[in-house]
Parts: sequence; structure tokens; C-alpha cells
Amino acid sequence: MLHLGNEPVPVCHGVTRRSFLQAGSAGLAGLTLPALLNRESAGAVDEKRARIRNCITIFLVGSPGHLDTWDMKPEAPAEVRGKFRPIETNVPGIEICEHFPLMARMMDKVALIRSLHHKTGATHENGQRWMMTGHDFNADSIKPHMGAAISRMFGQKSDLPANVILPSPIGNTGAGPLHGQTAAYLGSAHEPFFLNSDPARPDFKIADLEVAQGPSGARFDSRRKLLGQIDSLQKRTESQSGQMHDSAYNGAFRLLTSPKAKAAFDLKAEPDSVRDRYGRNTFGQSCLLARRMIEGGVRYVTVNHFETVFNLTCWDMHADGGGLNNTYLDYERHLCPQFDLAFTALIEDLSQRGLLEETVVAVLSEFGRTPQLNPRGGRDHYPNAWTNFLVGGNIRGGQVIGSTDKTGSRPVNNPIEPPQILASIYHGMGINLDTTMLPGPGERPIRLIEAEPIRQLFTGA
Amino acid sequence: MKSKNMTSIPLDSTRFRQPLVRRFAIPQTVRGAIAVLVAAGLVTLTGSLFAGPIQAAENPPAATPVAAVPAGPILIAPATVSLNHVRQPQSLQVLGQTADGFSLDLRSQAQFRSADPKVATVDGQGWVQPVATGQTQISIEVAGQSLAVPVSVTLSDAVPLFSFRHEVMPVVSKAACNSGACHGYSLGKNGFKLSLRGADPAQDFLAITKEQFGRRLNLQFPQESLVLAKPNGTTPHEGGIRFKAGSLSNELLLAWIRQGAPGDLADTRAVASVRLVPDRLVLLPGQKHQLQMIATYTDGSQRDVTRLGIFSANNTQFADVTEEGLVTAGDAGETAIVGRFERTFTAASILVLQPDSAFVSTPVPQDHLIDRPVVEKLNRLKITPSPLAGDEEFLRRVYLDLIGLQPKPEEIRAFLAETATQKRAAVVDSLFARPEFVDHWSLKWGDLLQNSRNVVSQPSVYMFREFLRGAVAENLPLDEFVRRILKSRGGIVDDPASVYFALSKDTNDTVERATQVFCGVRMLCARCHTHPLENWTQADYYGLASFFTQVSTRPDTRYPQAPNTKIVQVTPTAGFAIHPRTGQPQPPHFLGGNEPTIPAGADRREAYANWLTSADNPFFARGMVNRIWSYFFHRGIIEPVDDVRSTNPPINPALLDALTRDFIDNQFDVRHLMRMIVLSDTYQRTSVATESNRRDQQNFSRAIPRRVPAEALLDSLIQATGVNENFGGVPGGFRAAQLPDGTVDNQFLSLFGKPQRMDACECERDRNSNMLQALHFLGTSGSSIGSRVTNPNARPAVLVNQKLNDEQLATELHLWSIARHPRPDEAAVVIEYLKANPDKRLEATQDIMWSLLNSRGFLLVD
Repeated sequence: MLHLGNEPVPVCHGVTRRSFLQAGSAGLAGLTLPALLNRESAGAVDEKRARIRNCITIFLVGSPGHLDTWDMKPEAPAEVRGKFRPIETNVPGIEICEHFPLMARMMDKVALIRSLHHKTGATHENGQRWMMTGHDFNADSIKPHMGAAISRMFGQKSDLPANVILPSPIGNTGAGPLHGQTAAYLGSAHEPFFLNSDPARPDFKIADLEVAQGPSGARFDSRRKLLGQIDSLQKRTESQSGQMHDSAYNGAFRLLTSPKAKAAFDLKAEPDSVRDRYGRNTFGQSCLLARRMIEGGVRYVTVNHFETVFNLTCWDMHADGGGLNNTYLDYERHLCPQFDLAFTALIEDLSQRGLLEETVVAVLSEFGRTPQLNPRGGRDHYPNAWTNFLVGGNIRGGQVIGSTDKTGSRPVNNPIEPPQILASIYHGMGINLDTTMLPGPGERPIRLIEAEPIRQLFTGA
Repeated sequence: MKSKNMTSIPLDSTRFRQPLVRRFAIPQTVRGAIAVLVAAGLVTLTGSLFAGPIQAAENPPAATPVAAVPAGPILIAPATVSLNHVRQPQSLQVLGQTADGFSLDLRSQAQFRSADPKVATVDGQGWVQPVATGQTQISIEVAGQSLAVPVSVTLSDAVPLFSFRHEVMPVVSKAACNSGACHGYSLGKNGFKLSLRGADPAQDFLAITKEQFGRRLNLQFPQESLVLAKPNGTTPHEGGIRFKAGSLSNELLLAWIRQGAPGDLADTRAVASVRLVPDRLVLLPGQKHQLQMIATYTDGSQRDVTRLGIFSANNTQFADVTEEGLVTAGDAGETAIVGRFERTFTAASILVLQPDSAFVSTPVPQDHLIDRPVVEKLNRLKITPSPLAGDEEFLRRVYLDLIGLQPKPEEIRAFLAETATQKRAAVVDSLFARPEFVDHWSLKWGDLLQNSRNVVSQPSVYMFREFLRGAVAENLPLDEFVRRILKSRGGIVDDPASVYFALSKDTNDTVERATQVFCGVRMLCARCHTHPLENWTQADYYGLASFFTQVSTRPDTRYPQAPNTKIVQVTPTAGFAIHPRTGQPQPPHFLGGNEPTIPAGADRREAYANWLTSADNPFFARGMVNRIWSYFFHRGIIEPVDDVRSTNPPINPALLDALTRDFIDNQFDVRHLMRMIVLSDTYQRTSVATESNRRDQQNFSRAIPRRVPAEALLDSLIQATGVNENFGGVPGGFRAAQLPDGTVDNQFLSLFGKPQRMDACECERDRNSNMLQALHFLGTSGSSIGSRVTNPNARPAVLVNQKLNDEQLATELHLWSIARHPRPDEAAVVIEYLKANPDKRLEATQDIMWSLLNSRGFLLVD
């Protein structure tokens, strides 16, 4: 059982309170409601006042070149500006790549951050760790995924897990297993739940959730009844570990059997027109599923746009003629249109359902790509500058934060590092970063992140 | 801590503030005259400012009187009063006790009178204020008794200047300006940075007086100084109102600024220790009691700092405390109130009891070093322990705890059939001899010492693992085990224990690992700043580091195929660790101890290892005993086991002392300690609660169920079903308990909390249950249970082939799955299920095993 700091630590908001999140009963199957209410009243987390209640992170594995997408330099020499041309958007003065025509029509909702950069290595994994956790780290000091931290902070909102990755966690991207998509020291209760199944396939189903259905459903029911009888006879004295056991099993049974939970995963319930609007591909259907997850009460969804960078069409545009042979042609024909369609479908859909007001969609990547085209006409990894963007909640759209120099080589004003993105999302979700501590390695209370939110992102700032 | 609880000292009452404001409104335009004017004014001023609540008669009493009369003597604390500073009054505690041992705070009932008010005055709440040099006495009339306390006053002729170190710094700490969430944050707040919790008064003096061209102070108009106007709310402050205008804190700061904000950084007097009076309270639920906080300085002087110190409650369910030290008891139970003054801590233990005249004490087993203190404590708490567990409950518990595996049906049957009176002792001895005992305990040491292929080569990990296995197998005395580790050097073949140092990232990592595991003390905080919950400073930290700065590693070229195989070398000439704040080498000194004289060129680790494992070391034996205890119960005697500090006292000090003494007397023999524990009545109690101990989870009055750890759960599952698990990256046939480290990719083990060995903390092992674990057990794909029970060679198929009758089958399934016979009602449920599925006997058997393995009976140790 976790037991955190004993001293009530006064906070900068007038009251004295226990600033460490008390683990206690809450440490386990997520936070209990009373514990959450307690915390809210203490001022560390104000979920009600928060404008952002949910987050969808679209993670562009492989990473698009900023000069070819959202930070174009049409005046730069040909070997820098690349093949694509910018187009105007519905916000005067903001231009993006011609292959995002749908996104251009909703630029008023989007806050572009063009001055991102990080200072560690140029592997995919460095960038993934930065963007998924707000830290770079080694195997001996793994940091938790932002979704796991949100799960630890708020717990489950419904029968669905609080933290979901679609369709699967990032796999091999070349430099080791540390992608920043685990719960690390926050405990396995907060590990992301993932499908390991392709929602674009006609026979899409989630094996772990299928036991309660079909021919095996009847057997599952009778097993469940039997287990209920056995458990109730075994229960002689209530104990904390016994309650935790019950709550774990109750949660699992609800997820397996509640019609609402089941419906959340059922893409067949969507009209064909909607499924088409998102695009009939893994990414498109994952974005659609992400919306259903949010509707069903998931707090944090990560959609990995591609599981790996090898031997498939993806953003990793080295044009190397081998296993990493993505080129402008792939961007033009597949990647940009696939993203444009699914991303705009998601924003429109969330907006129509009134969910965009309380959901932030963050489109993130590992780095940018080299300003100079390589000899084969591709671009390589470039962590010195890139563009990502956020939409939704109280994010003020139609703005550009930061900029890069004439060749997109480095930020020239308001340079932003990945932890500031995470700090902004935490802040938007009502977490006071100054006063909220999570139990870190060795139960040492630590801040969620060592960075300040980007105030300019938010309306009223 | 909430203002609604503030009943005793009306620091912020209007009637108290008004006269002060008037007195301070002396025109001060000439800088040079300030000190003189204020000093002159202060002679009368301090009388009201520092003598506490002079209107005490109008105040509600500090403590709720208990409807009980004191029995025995009434004590006044302190017994004599010595005052030598005009602004340092002393409070008197009037302490009584009821016949049945409850504490009584009699201060509010007492009548105080000074024999000579020209020497010292006393107010209605017992605050003694010095007036002039001389001798007098305070008489106290309480509960029909007359008591007296001699008072000696020695005042200097000049009123001392306000002290930055001793008057301003405590205010800054009490208002929490220098806490981590406020200006003590490493980046400061709003451009104003203070040292964390006041670790560096010199830096803070600069920050307050000089930075920003001194605009934080306004000597012309002191009340407009930002350091006052911000915290008292006159000027908007993101940190809110920290103290009110007119409060003691406010007036101290104001008076200091009026004097021109003098510095006294040269004053080397420092707080040596702090204590709470009384340090132990026994209260009824709801009863109140005032605590007094006394600081002792390095020059031996004492000071009542009740009004400047910080009080906090460890567990508010059992007792809460106000900012002024007034304790209110909550539910029956036990906790500590922590007192902090500047950076020094202390604690008072609070015992809250229900009056229970019907309680019958449990006879105290006088001759057992565990059961005696446990039962004595339970008798004090008026808790009746649960009876001893039956043979099956005991057997499964002791198997899981000693060898990490459930007993098999034939072992259960043999144990039940055994009639010898010493059969529990016999089975414990047989478990010590089992190979699984070595697996189980070397796994634990591997966790604690963080053996991992993430950090060192595979050969290193296996060699270290063998060293640990050997030590467990031969029952190497723990002191010798630790000495071998701490003095190790060379390569993995020369000295496999040396891998311990190869596993450290650097010297700091060694300090933190060694201190946390071998002393049970968490030093990490003190690497960068003073420990927030204990008296450790950076000097303590780097003093420890200097024992290890001679150690370094280089690649062992004998293993070209295995990078990260290292040779641990000791460089005798290496210097001491550098204290990062002073930039000076920090000579080695023992944790909480002295600076040893170590000959130049000697391996300083030897001095450390010998200090650590000596019989009078305050940490090692105690920490190890506590840690090993925790492996057999749901908690340590100190919990968390590796967070020993004065503010986290043991739940049963007598128990910990007795075990520690016994462990040392028996030459650090771990098996002796384990045998002593598992054969105690305390360990053998059932988990079924009595009416009396239902709410007790702290005092070992019954067994508290725990979730079976990952490896033991998987190994028991394999044994129950007869279906193996294949682990990647290790030799075939390894059991979960035999895995060399946490890098093995296994969903079951990671879900159930096998540590990755990234941290020396016991807490890295997750012992909780969660939904994803349950899904894993319930689901079909990759499910550990679903696919196992339906395996054609698994236990259900084997049992069905034996053509057992329903009753026999129910029994066998229970014995294999949850290691005990079913009770009749449990058997009936199973038999009914079998009868309901006559043509699907195999499936029904699988279903029953599935259910049993998903039940509490399998996942928890009762």
C-alpha cells in the first residue's frame, strides 16, 4: 500500500492541505469517487472548472516534415522548400500544405505551434518519450505516459478504462523498446488498455472482451455465477485487499458485460457514411473509435498513426530506397489525404456532438525533418524544429505560436519544448501543476512535469 | 490546521491588534533613530506582543475537560523556568492522568500566579513572560493541589535586536513561504526564490533584503514592504493570505523591518533538537490536549517555540492538530503528531482509546519476545486478538511466505495427519531446506539490490544472482553478507558481490541504494536539498558519499562479448565528495553519527561497513528486522519499511526493540529471525476478525490478507493447473521465482507488479489488485487461467480421468487451487454445479477450477 508524505504541505492557494495525492484506497483500481471529491475540494484538481475533460492524442509515428506540412517556406530555395505548395486557410495569414484542403477550412479551430524542438537524440524513441511523457529517460528510470498520469489522477469515468491506446502501442521504431507508452511507476492499474486489433477490418473485435459473447457467453455466465457463489462463501472478514480484489473483478465484469461498454467498441453501430467520412483505413477507423471511446467515458485516448516505421507507408520520409522508402509521392497520395480526412472528420464529429468543447485533440510527433532535402529527395530526422497542433476545449484556434527561421532550421521566437505541451494539457484538465504531486519512483512525491503551460494557447490568455 | 479549530490563541483578534498598531505608529523619519526608538518602545511592546493571549480569561479553554478526575501526581512542565530573552516567554504545561491512564490537559483549569510580577508575569493560560532580572516563582492551583515552579530571569540591559535567523526565518517557514509549492520551488515563484524550507538563511537574507534593489522591504513605510503586504493580503498575492495583519508572524516581520532589517548571519547558534511535551498522549475520542514545543540550541539553551513551530498530523483519522499545537483525538487508534521548528523534526505518539470497562485483558505471554509486546500493546488498546489459525490456513500462509508457493494436496494431507505437537515448527524447518526457499529469498535480494540486465551484462547478472543464492542457501549472517557486498572489488569472477557497485549509476546512486536498503532511510531528497521530513541535510548526504568516492568501474576486457561487464576498482587517493552548495569537500561522516578518522589511503568503505554492521548501529539490525517482519505481515513495524525517520515512528517500539536485540544476540541469523516470527502466536493468528479487533489493521491482532506477489502467484498457478509458462530470454524450465531480473517480457508478471528493479524502494513491487489483472484472468486471449484450465493435459482433465465422485472431485479441486479443503457449504456449491452438468463433467470441472483460481482464496494470502 502506498503511503505518501505525512506532512500537510501548505500550497499557494491560501489553505493548508495534504498536497501529495493520498494513495490509500485510491491507489488501486483507480481513484474512488470520494477520494476524487476530496481532492477537488482540496484544490489540486478542479475537474469541474476544467474546460478540458478528455484528451485525444494523435501521434504521428515517423514524423512528418514540418516544411512539407504545417510550416511551409515557399520563399526558400528549392532544396529546402520541397515539392509542395502552401494554400490559404480560413484564417487570413495562416497557410498550410496544399494536401490538407479539409484542414485548411477549419484552421480557425487549430492552434499551430511552429517552434517545437527538443535537445536529446534524433531517434524516434527520443521524441516519443518526450511527447508521451514529457521526459527523455533510460531503461532504469522509465517515466509514465500522460494517459497513465491522467488515469492515476482522475480514475475511471465510466465502465471503460480511463486510458486507451488505439489500435496498439508503438512497436519497433529502430532504437529500443522505450516508447513512453506505459504506466511505469504509477502501477499496472494505469497501464493503457489497447485493442491489438485493427478496427478497419471487417471482422474487428477485441479478443479480451469477447468472452462474454456468442456461444461461449452462456458458459461465461455460468462461470461468473459460480465464482460469485464461491467468493461470497470465502468472504469472512472484510479487508482492504479483499475490497480491492472485488473492485478489480467488478470493474472487469462491468467492462465485459455492460451493454454500454460493449457498444463503445462496436463500430458497426456507425452508419456507413460516418465510417467513410473518417476513411476506411486503420487510422481513420481508430479516430472514429477514439470518438466512441470519449463518448463512452474514456478520459485519455492515444491514436498511434502507425505502429512502426519499417516496411510500410508512413511519415518517416527518408526516401532511402529500402525499408524506409517513403517519399513525396507517399505523402501526396496516401499520408496527407488519410490524415486530412480522419482528423477533420474527428474534429467535425466531436464538434457536432458537443464533445469538442470538453475534449482537446493534440496532434503530436517526434520531431521535424531536415530542412535540406537529402540526395534522394527525402528528409531525415530533425529535432531542432517542428510543428504540432492542438484543437478543442478552451484552446484558442486560428493562431500560430512561435515561428522558425527562413529555412525552418530553428525556432526564432517563443521556442517551445515538448514538456510545455503536456503541461498545457494537464493545466487545461484542471490540474494545478504547482500543487499536485504524484508518487514518483520510490514514492518520492514529484511534480507531474517540470514545465509551465503555454498560456497563449488558451482563450482568455 | 483549519482556522475553525483555532481556539486557543487569538493572534488575529481585533482587540489584540489595535494597541499594537498604535504603538508601532511612532513617527520614524530618521533612519538612525529607528533602532533606538523601537528598542525603547519594545520594552513595553513585547509584553503584549509575545506574552501570548493576555485576554486568556475571555477565551474558551484550550482543552475540553474530561469528565474524569486526575489520579496520582500532577506534573508541571517545565519543572523550572529559566528566561533570558525578553521576547521568549515560556508556557507551562499542567499534566495529569486518570486512574485508567488517560492523559489530562489541566492547564485551562489551573490558576496561575506570579509571586513577583516585577520579575515575571504569568497569564491565565500559563505563559510566563520575563520582565526584569531576578528570581521568583509561579504558583499553580489545580484540582485542589498547590504546585510551584521556580522562575529565574536574566535579561541583558539592552533589548536585543530582532533576529533574522531566529525570529524571521521561523515565520517564513511557518507561513510556508519557502515550501516546495511556493517560493522554495527550485525556480522560485514570480521572481522571488527562497531556499527550500529555509536550508540557506544567507541566501534568503539576500533574497529578502537586497534583491530587486531591496524593493521587497520598505524601510520608510515598513507596513508597505512586499514581504508583509503580500502574505497578509494587503497586496494581491498568488499564494493567498499566509498570515493576517496583526498576527504574531506579521508583527515579528514588521518589527524586524522597523529596526532596519538587521542581519545576524554570523550567529552560529542553531537548533540542535526539538521535542514535544508531552511526547505521548492517551486520549478519548474527541478529547483535546495542548502540546508544547521546545527547541534546544547548539549552545544548550532552550526556547519554547510552541507559537513559531509547525504542527502536523500523520493520520487525521486518529488525531488532528491545529497550527498552535492543540490536538483533537479522532477515532480509536494510534498515530503521531509531528512537530517541526526550522528544519528539525520530532514526533509525539497519540493513542486514542474507547473507554471499555468490560474489556478483559489477554494474558501476556511473558516469555515470548514477539507475543509479549504485541499482546501488551493490544491490552493497552483494549483489543482482543483473533485466535490461532487452523492448520490449513497456517500451512498455506507459511508456504507462500517462506517459499513462494502453495502447498500441494499431499503436503496438506500429511500435515493434517501429523499428530506431533511441534508439527508447525517441523514444517517450518522443512521449508528452510527446500530449494524454493533459496529461489524466493534470493529473488527478494535481487529486487532490493537491483540486479538487472538493463544495467550490467548478462554474465554479471547471473554471477551476482549466484552470489545471492549462495548467501541464502548457507544462511550467511546478514552482517557478513552486507560487509562482503560493501567491501567487494574486482571483476565478476574475482568477486561476484562486486556487481553491487557495477549496478550503481554513480556514487550518489550508491549512497541512496545503500542507505535505503541497509539503513531503511531514504536519502535521495538530501542530495539536492534538506530532507523535507527528517533532519538530514546535504552535509549528511555528501558525508556518506565520501565513503564511496574511491569506487569506480572500468570495463572488464576478459568479457569482450559482454559489454557492461565491469571491474570495480578502489582508488585510495580519491578525494571526498563535494558539497554542492559550499563547493567544499565533505569529510566522511556516519549517518546521524560522528566523523571517523580514517588513515589516508585506506578503503573508506571498510569504515562504513564496520560501522553499519556493528552491534550498536542504530539503523542496520533494526531496519533489517523491520523489513523481514514486513514480508510476513501486511506491513512493517515501521511502515513504509524503508522510510525510517523520527517523524515515522514504529507502531510498536517495544516489539521492534526486542526483535532487534534478539537478531543481534543471534549474530544476524536470518533464519532464526524468520523462525521466531512464523512460530509466534502473532503470525499464526487467523485472519477472521473478532468483534474487538475488526477495525484494527495496525497492531497485528489478526492476519490481514495480502495479495500474493506476482512470482508466487504464477508459480502457484502453474503448480495448480500443471501447465507451464515459457519465459523468453532465460534457460528453459525456470520458475517465475528463479528469473534473473525484471527484464523478462511476461504480461502476467508485469500486470501483477513484478518490479523492474529501477529503484531500491520496496514500494516498486506493486501489491495491489486492479481491473486489468482481473481482465487478464477472466479473458480468453493470452489468459493465464482460461487457457490453462482447458488445456487437455491440465489438472481438470487429469482429475476427471481419475473417475472421482463429486465430493472427492470438489475436494481435489479445492486442494489444488486454493490449498485447503472446502467447507461443507463450499463443497455443496461445487457438487451442485457438477450435478447440474452431468454430461459435461470435464467442462464443469474446468469451470470450477477457473472460478476457484479467480477467487480471493487463490489471489490473496489469508
